Amino acid sequence: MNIPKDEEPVIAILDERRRTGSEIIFVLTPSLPAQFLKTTVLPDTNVLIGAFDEL
Amino acid sequence: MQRIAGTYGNSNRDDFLHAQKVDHTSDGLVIRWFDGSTTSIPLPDPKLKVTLASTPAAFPCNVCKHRGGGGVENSRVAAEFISEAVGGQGEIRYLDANRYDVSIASELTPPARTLALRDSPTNYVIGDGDDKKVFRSPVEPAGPLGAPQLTTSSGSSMPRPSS
Repeated sequence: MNIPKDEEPVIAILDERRRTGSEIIFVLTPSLPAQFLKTTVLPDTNVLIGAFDEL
Repeated sequence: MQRIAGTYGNSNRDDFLHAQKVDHTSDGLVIRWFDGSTTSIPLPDPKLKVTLASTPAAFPCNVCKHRGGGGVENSRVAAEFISEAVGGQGEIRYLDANRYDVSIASELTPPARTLALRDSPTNYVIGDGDDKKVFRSPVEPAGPLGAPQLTTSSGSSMPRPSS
């Protein structure tokens, strides 16, 4: 997932990841709330990438 | 074993501007177009990417080329590059939150799907290298996301991009 801007699809993809065991690479984005990233994305992500031009 | 990679994010269209001259001032940019007119853009922040409240009228008239861009497209290109580099035979799937237009669709390798939450925005790019600036359009609010977009396993019922 590369800089997604909407929470619902991210939640759906993470749910699917739990079902299939696939790996998630996530490019962090300030477009999503920090609390959502912290509580929902980080625990279920295998690799996190910070986009240098978004920091 | 065949492996499947999926890329998800938001596409946009990058329109590249062709200008006679770009001057950097203490307040921002002054762009001189080939018809002799100028556009001044205040830039309080020297960031590479700037979101404009509205698109200057001269921008659409001075586009020399366009291409698909955005996180989802960049990741698809990267995944394809890595797959080829390691001799992979896997499938790369593309799921776009935005409803991309024909100019983006023509650059995509199937299978590509869209959630059609909003139209893909257009970004305007001027300069290159260290002198490059990207003027982004504001991101529209998302449209409704419902069961048809999330419950399919084949992707076949997801909306196709409009032309």
